[in-house]
Order: sequence, then structure tokens, then C-alpha cells
Amino acid sequence: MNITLDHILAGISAGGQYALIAIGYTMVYGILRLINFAHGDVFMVAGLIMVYISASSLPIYVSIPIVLLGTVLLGFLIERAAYKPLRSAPRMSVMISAIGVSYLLQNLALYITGGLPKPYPAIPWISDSITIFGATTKRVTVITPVVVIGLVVVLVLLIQKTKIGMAMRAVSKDFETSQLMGIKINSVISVTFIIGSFLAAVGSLLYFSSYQSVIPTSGALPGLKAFVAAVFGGIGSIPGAVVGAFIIGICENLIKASTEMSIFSDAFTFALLIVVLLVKPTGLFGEKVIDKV
Amino acid sequence: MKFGGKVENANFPENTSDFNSYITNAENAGAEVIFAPTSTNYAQLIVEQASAKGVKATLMAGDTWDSNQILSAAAGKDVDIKVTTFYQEGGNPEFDAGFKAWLEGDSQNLTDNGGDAKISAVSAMGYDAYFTALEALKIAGSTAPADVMEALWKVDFTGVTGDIKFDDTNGDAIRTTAYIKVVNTETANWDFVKEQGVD
Repeated sequence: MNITLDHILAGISAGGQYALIAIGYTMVYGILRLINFAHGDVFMVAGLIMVYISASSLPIYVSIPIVLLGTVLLGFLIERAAYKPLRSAPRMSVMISAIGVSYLLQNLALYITGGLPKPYPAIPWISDSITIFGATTKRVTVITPVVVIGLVVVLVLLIQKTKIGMAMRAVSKDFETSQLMGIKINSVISVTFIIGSFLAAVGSLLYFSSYQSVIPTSGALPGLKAFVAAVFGGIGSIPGAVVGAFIIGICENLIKASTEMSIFSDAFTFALLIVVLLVKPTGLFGEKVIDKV
Repeated sequence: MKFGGKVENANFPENTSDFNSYITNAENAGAEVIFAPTSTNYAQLIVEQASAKGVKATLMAGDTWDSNQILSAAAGKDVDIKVTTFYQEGGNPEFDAGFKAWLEGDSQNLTDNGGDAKISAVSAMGYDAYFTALEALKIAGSTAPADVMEALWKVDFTGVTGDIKFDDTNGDAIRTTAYIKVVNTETANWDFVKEQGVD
């Protein structure tokens, strides 16, 4: 087994991309106790939006904001259409609705793209090849962890220091009481989905700049791995999701470094999920919920 | 012509998009050739990532890579891609002309073909497969599945991709030549290299 800097860089980059998606999962779960299975597919749709926008030859600094706006709008609409009407329904119903939205997005993408892989446009400067300490890689591999850490810091500041952040923390602690205290639940939930979708859009820019091909199921596996990362780090905790994602990204690529075990790289992630749920279900940074009688 | 050498295997799980580690492993092992008989979905990613890493090894594949997706993925990049395929444009001018006319007659056909009117081997082979079935039906004289099965063994005609005949033991196709094509990264087109026989 020959682990080189190449593998570690690839692992850190993959971890960063999973982290951006995992934050979306963990935030929505923290507030709504809902596993938003459609999140991975929102990530894929963001990639498709970029493919189609750049096909109409708009300059890059116009297409990137359009992608971010479009994804945010999509996340907002999904919440309003598929999750809001089910707020008083049993938790299983909302989860089924999320799975339904996921399939809807995948099949819509299949219908629109015709199933053929769409090449993702190369964003200048980010997609260039650079050499670091003898390892040839793309610039985006090095930029990803920096961008992720930056966004996470901004997000944690937002949650700790702003009013809307305080509202989000209150709602995740106790849904009904926050409503009684006068917090506008709809705004808080919409802001959560908006932030999550924004991060997923940034994640898709970085991910598809590394792996420049979009098919309708491109979002399924990264979304699933990001979900495992969120659970591993403690679902509901943002730093936990980020740490979990980096650990999964790095371990996955270290396994790929060995030629015999490389086929088990995905199996490792899902085995980790099972082990975490058996050994420490609240995850690395999760809090034990104490039910006072 | 070089013979001998070492073969290293690698497997990837379904829906992988990140081939960087596999390419790194191949580079570290000193591979001269990376043989990647994958579908075009993965091929696009492999070609793109191999060129980003500046891989010097030749990428080789079977006829699944004979498609416009590979040409557009490799255009303008520094990669050496060779594929073996069963049909080369120009092998049957009448078929080429007719097929291109059909493609250009409807924009949906062009899109399904990958955006332009290049003829990939799988289109020609699909055409031949259809006519093989038709031949079998003619020989059988009936549409009962058992009769058609019997008649398939006796099919013997010249299709677009060459002689179509099956051997008596297993029903394997008797086909001893393939064509090797290389990607011309400047013109984004296939260049014919040679015919490769089994001897």
C-alpha cells in the first residue's frame, strides 16, 4: 500500500465537499428532526444548473451567482411545497415526502438531460493543475478545505451572534415553546433551508470542478456519505458534521490507495455508520438528550 | 511489438466519481498502459482526471469508449487514448451516407448521438444486429421463438461491419479482426491506427 500526498490531498478535498452537504443535513435535522433525503439531489441540480447556464455562454461571474440563487430558491420551494404542509403529521410522513422529492428530482433530471453524462464547464483558475510537493492535482483540491473552514466559521458566528441564529438554536431546543415565545417558525425554517441549499450549491461548484461530469444520480452517493458524516459527527451539531466529513473523506481515499481493498471504500463508510449507531449513537459531538419526567 | 509485462488489477465501486487515487496507484506502479473498459459515464471522469494529473500512460479501452463523449472529454487535452472497435467510418460508404442523413434529419437524433453526426461502432453493430435477427426470421420462415433460435445458427450474410456468421460449438461470432483507433486531441476526431487480427 503506497499512501502518497496525492491520496491525502484527495481525501481532504473529498472531506470538504462532503462537509458542505453534511451541514445541510445536520441543520435541518437539528431544527425539524427531519432527514432531508432530497438534499443530495439539490446538490446535483445545482451542478445541472451550472451546466445549462454556461451552455448559454454567460460569463463566469454571472453564472456562479445564478447557480447559488437558483439552488437556494429550489431548497426554499421544496420546503414550502413538500415539508411545510406535513409539519403536524407524524415524522415518518415527512421522511417519506423527502424520499419522494429525492426521486422526483432525480427523474426530472433524467428526463431533461436524457440520461447522458453532461460535462461540467471548467471554471478558470480553480480547475487548473498545480503541483504541490511533487503531487500533481487541481487547484480546487487545495481551495476546498480553505473555503469549507471559512464558511463554517461564518456559519457558527451567525448561529452564535445573530438574532436569527439565536432563534434557530431556540427552535432546535424546543419547537413548540419557541412558537409560544413569539419566534416566527416559518422564517426560521426557511432560513435553515436557504443556508443549507447555499452551502450545497457551493459544494457542488467545488465537487463538479473536481469531477467534471454530471449525471442524474451524481448527488445520491455524496449525499448518502454526507448523511453518514452528519450522523458520525453527531446529528444536530455543525462542527461534528464537518469533522465527520473530513474523517470519512480521508479514510475513504486511504482505503483506495490499497489495490486489493479499494473496492471496499464505499463499504467502509456505511460500515462506519452501523458501528457508530451501535457504539455511540449520539455521534462524536452529539449531546445526550435527557428526558425529564 | 512488445510482449510480456505485469498486470495490476483495480476495482471501483459503482457510482465512483473520484478516480484520482486509482490513477495515482497506476502511476506509482509505473504503468505504461491503463486499460479501463468502463461505460462512458466513468470514461469522461477518468479521461479528465488523468489529463489533470499529467498521466503519461496510454489509456486503452474496448468499444464502449468509441463515442463522442470520449472525443469531447479528450479534446485539447494531453492524453493518449486508443480503443478497439468493430467499425470504422468509411468501411461501408452507403451505410455511412444513409445513417448520417437519418441523423441530420431530426435534431433529436443528433442529440441522442452525442451532438453530431459521427458514426460510432455501436450504431453500426446495432444496425447489423437488427438485420441478423431479420435474416434468422427469413431462414426460419416463422416467428415462433424456437424456430428463430434454430435459424440463428445458420445465419450467414455480409453486414455493415463485415461477415456475420456463428460457429457450431457455442454460437460464438466468427469475427477475427478489430480496428484500433486513436483520439486526435486537436481535431477531436478519431484517427485510424490499424486493423488488428487474432493471429
